[in-house]
Amino acid sequence: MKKFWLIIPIFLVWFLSSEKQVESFSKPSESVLQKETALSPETQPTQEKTPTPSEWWGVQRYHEIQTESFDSPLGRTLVYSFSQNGVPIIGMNIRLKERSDGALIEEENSYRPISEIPIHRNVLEEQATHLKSQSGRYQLDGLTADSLVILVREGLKEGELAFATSAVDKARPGVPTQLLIRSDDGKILRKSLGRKEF
Amino acid sequence: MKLHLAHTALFLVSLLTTGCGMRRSHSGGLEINVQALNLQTLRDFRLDRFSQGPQAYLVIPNPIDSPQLKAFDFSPSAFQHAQVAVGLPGLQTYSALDNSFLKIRVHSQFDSSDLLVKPQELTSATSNIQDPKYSQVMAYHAVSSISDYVKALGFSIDQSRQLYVMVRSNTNPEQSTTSQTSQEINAYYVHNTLQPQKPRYIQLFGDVQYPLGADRDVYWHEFGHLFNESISASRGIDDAGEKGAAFTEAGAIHECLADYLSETASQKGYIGRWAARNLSDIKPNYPLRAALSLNDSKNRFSSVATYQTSQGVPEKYDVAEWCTRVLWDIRSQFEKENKETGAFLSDRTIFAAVGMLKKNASLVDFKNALLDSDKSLNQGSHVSFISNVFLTRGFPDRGTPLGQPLRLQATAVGFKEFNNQIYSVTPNTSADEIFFSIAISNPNSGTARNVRAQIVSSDPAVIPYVDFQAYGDLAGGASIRITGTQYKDFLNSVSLALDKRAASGRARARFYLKVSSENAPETTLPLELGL
Repeated sequence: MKKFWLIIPIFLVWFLSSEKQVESFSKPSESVLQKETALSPETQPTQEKTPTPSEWWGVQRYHEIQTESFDSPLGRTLVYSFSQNGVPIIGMNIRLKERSDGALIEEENSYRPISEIPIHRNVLEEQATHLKSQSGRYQLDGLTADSLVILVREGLKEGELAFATSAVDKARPGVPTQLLIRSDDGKILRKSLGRKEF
Repeated sequence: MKLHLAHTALFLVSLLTTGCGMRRSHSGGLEINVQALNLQTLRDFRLDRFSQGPQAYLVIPNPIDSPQLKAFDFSPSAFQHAQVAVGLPGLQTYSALDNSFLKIRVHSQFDSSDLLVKPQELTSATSNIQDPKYSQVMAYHAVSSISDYVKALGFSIDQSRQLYVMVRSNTNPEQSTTSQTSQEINAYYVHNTLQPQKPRYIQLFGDVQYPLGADRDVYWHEFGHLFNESISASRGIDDAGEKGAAFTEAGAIHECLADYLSETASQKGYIGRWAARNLSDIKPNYPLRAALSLNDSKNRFSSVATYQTSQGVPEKYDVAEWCTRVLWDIRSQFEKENKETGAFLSDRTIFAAVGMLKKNASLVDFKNALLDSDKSLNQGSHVSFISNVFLTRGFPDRGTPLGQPLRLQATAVGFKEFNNQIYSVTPNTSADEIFFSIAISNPNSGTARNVRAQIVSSDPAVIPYVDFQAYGDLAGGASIRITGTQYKDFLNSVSLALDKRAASGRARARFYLKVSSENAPETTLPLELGL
């Protein structure tokens, strides 16, 4: 029984050391630097083999990470968004909210390790041309193969390639409309309407 | 000019009495942290002192509200006399009023250079208020000055994409050919959420006698939408509005905050008196909207937020105007406590609250965020005041708990375009869009607060388009009915499309329609449609 009591301080030391690791994650000056360095795809693992935030979140090597930071008197929000081969991914990101003293107070993580999507530019050009030429409810004059995104939807394991474009909706011609259109069959996957008027 | 001298004298006196401008709140002696504020910038802003950068001459904020042009006199000499010098900081090109973030244009993103004001011709560009060149100078001054204001309050702005301001915009700002002069008198902010490669836009429409582009209020309001998205880190506080919902409380909050930014920064308490001259339904000299209490129906919540069978869903801008009056009451209290810094501290508290809002936020969420923001920034010294203001303005919070769930009936209606006409079709995969004919009734005797309909589905074969609509407060015994035969009859309903490819061979797609409110048990209606 006496030996058992020796284990307690060992556990205590282990517990405190693991606490420190979490704490440094939430301090803005250190943590943000650590993250931004670690998020660069070229970064090598540190000698101590501390897991990088990319590793914590399981970010795939073919997913590039973009970071934005928003300051307020109450603290800071860091938003990590993702792209693949420069194509923005819509529908998954990671948000960290830090109080002004650096403590992490909120984490929202919708990142999913979806598979790498093959992107064939010549095929996409053909698809874009085909969709523009079709007469339908939406007039798609502005559609180009360059305005490509990957959409991640609930219930699907993989992302879908879609063209993001402004459009004229024949059902509501006066309302500015933006669409995400699945590249290979023209299915409208998402709509957004301009509405912030003076 | 005398007014400016009076303000300067007032500041000097207050500086001497307070010692280096650092003050404590008068309320209960609680310490208020003013460290995040850049007081010098804020003081200069309040005095309309914009000295950095090349000088231009403008009538600010607009001719009708200019302290130098009180009589409605637009003679060239009066107009010239009313102009004051403003600096345009940060200009980075010789070909347009541009810097790395802000780009001023006339019709489109790709205007020819002869339409654009060059920094070296600023003086000649501001001689005629109807000239789009005048509007370009006003646009650069307005956006750069309001950016400095919110930064001085301690906030950052989302500059991850450029902001193009079109002072006489084409409908499509990417279309370089100049379209016909727009008959529409309006202004939009476009966040381009679905198009990450595109910049943000502020578009002003209308080549009219009182051009919107000559009014600083308009830019400050539209910039307010970008600011809301910045503070909330584009979380989608009005996600449903972006997807096409006709009304949500979040949409009203977005407009309220955009108005409030313009109203507080200009210290006027109203917005759009110049722009309203173009609108025959607004009395001469009345503003478009006011945070100040006017003798109208916008002072009480129940007058603006109740669903009425005759008028339908509440008007977003009426709820927004009510909301600005709440915020203006809060600002007035802060200012009463400290004439010098009160309004700045109020703005900081209000805008910091926006950062706490969740997706599709409600007014209850906003009120609670304001209370939390005050607790964090001001040690809660205004918590009871803020609660009382909402109460005084008739806000019922969540309302009295109701025993019975709201009743819901729904029938799917499909629509499809053919030969430029929209036809009603069977609600299956052949339809472009499927709406719901909806009947919601309140069987309780008390009012149901903030009634919403929502499509809930984890089935990828269901693609929600307008997944969330709100209808305001529904009185006891009252009903909401959305029905009809044409597409336009369903714009207050929720909508979706079906995706056979994502159904993995299933013949039917399943989802729920949910009706919720702040104070009644939820109603969930399981539905399925054939693929």
